[in-house]
Amino acid sequence: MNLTLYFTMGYPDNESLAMFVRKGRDLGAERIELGFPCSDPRYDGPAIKNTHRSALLSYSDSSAREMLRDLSRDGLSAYALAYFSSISGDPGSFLAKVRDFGFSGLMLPDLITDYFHDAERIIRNVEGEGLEFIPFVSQATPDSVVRKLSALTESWIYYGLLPSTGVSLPTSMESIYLRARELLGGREICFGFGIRTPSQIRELRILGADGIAIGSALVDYLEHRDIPGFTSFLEGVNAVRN
Amino acid sequence: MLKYDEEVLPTKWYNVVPDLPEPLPPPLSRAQDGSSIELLNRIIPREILRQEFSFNRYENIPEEVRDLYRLVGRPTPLIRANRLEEFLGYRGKIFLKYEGATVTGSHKINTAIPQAYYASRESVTGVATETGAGQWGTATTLAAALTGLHSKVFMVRVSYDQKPLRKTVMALYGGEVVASPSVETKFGRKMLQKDPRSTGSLGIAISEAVEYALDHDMKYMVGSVMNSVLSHQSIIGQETMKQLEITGEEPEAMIGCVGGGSNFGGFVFPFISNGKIEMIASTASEVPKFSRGKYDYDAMDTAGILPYVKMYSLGSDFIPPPIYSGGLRYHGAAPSLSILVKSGRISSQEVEEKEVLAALEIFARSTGIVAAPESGHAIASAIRYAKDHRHDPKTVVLNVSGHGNFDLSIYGGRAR
Repeated sequence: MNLTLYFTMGYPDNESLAMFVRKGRDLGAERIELGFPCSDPRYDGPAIKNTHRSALLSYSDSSAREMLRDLSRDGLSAYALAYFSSISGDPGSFLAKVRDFGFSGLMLPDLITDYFHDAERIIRNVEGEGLEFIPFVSQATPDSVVRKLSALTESWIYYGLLPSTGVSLPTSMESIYLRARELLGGREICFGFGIRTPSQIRELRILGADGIAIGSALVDYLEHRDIPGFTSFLEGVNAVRN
Repeated sequence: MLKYDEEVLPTKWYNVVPDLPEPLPPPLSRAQDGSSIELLNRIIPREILRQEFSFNRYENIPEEVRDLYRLVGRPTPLIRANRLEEFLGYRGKIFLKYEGATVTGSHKINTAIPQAYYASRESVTGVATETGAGQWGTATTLAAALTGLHSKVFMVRVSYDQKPLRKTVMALYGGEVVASPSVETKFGRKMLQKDPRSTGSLGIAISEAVEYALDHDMKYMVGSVMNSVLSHQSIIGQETMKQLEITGEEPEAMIGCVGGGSNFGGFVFPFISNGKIEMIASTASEVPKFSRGKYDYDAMDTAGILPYVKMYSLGSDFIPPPIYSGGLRYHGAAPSLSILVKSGRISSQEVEEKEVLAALEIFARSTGIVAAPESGHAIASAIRYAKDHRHDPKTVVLNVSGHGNFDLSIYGGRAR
C-alpha cells in the first residue's frame, strides 16, 4: 500500500520542512503532497488550518523550488495542493509555476464543490501544462460526478474519508471502500482524511486500498521539530502498511 | 400486521446525495479552537453521525425502528382527493399523502424515532431539542418516551404563547418544555438581555438546545436540514411510490412545503431520478429563502455552535415575522434541497398566509382534513397548480405534512 505524506509548504519553517520531507522519503513514502499555504483552507481541519496560518508568513518560492529540486533528483513524485479560490485570479501563471517547480501533478480540493461548472475546463488546463490532475472525491461526491471525473483523468484518485482533514467521526471504512471501488473500478485510490491509527491502516490494507495519505497526524511532530517522534510514527505506519 | 402495510413500509432509508447533479459542499467549521464538526461527536448519537457523513444511497432500517414506525401509524395513507378535484373543476388527479395520520400528527416522528432509538443505545441521560410550532417537540417527547429517555424542549416564544395545547401534549409524553429565549442557557440569557420581549426564532432555540445538551450530557435531536434527517424522512416518498404503484398511477407533479426541507425532501427525493416528475417546493412569502436568500455557507443555529453548511439562507440572525406557520419560519433550507433548487431540478414558489387560510378552508371542506398551516402552503400551491393546468390535466401528489388540530385559533377570526 502506497504512502503519501502531506505537508504545508513553509511549515514549520522552510529548513525544518526540507528535513522532514527527506526523512519521509528515507522512510519509504512513495509520494509527497505539498500544499501551497493560503488564507482560507476551508475544507481542512484545525491542525492543517494552523499550518496554513503559520506558513503564510514563512513560505517562499525559492525554498519551495529548492526542495522540489532535491526531491526530483531522488525520483520521488511530488504533488502540489492548492485551493483554487487562492489562485483563481491568475490560474495560468500558477500552473506554469507548479510545472516549473517540477511537480508531477496538482490537486485542487475545492474545485469540484466550489467551481463545479468550470471544473472540466480547469482540469484540461492543468493537463495542458503537462501536469497530472488528481481528482479529489469524497462520500459526498455524487456517483455521476465520480464517474465523470474518472473518465476525464487518468491519474490516481484521492478519496477523502471524512468531511474535513484530521477530524474524528464514526465511519464504516468497509462501506466507504466498497462504494469507492465500485465507482472507480481498477483505478488507483489513495484514501486520506483522519488516518492516524494502525488499526485504520490495517483495515484499509485488508480491504484492498492502493494507498493512504497522512497529513494532520504529522503536524505535532512538525510543530515540535520532533524528527525522532516522526520517525517512530512512520515506522509504525510502515509496519502495518507493508 | 396487514399484508398491504407490510408491503408499503420501507426497509431502507434513501439518501439523495449519491444522486445529486453536483457535489454536496462539506460542512465547515468556523470554530477558532477545535472543530465544530468534531463537536458533533459529543451531541449526536454515533450511528446518526455515521449516517450523516456516510452518504450511502441506502441504509437498513433496524427492525426495532420499523416496529416503532408501525406503532405510531405507519404507513400513512395515500388518498385520492376527488372531492377537491371536483370542487376545483380539475380534470387531472390529486392524491394526498397524509403525514398528519401519525399519532403525533406530523412527519416529524419519522426521524425522532431513529434518533431517540440510537441515543437510547448510548449512555445518555436524555435528549434535548428545539421546536417551533411544536410538531418536532411533540415527536421528540414521544420518541424519547418510547425509548426510555428524558426530554427537554426549547420552544420558540411566539409559538409557546400561541399554542398552549402543544405544551400540554409534550408534557403528557413526559417532556419538559421551556420558552426560548430562556434563562436556562448562556445564549438564551444573552438574547433576553438584548431584547427582553424577544419572540424568539428557531435559530435561537437550536442554539439553546445544543448548549443545553452539551452541558447536561444529553444528545441533541436534529429536526431538519441535516442529511441524515432527510434520509429518515425518505420513508414518506418511498411509501408514496409503493402506494402509487399499487394503484397503478404515475405521478407527474409533486408538491410539498419547505421549512428546513425535511418533509419535502423525504417526499420527493426517492423520485429524483425520474426526470419527468415536476417538483414544487412551497414556502412562506414572509420567509422568502429561495427568492431572497443567498446560496452560501451559513450557520444552522444563531449562536454558530453547529457547523456551517452551504444552503439558501436569509441569515442565521433572521427574525421572521410571527406568521402562524412556525415550521416554515426557519432561515435556511437543507443543503441537498438547496442544490436541487439552485440547479433548477426543483422549483419553488411562495404563498402568503391569506391564501393559505383560504386553501385550508377549501381543503377541510373537500377532504375533511384540518391540515397544519405549514401544509396549507403545499395545499395552496397544489390548488394553484390545478388552476394553471386546467387544460393540461396532470396527476398531482401533494404531501400534507401534518394536521392542524392544535392550530385552530388560526381560524378564530374566520368562524362564521
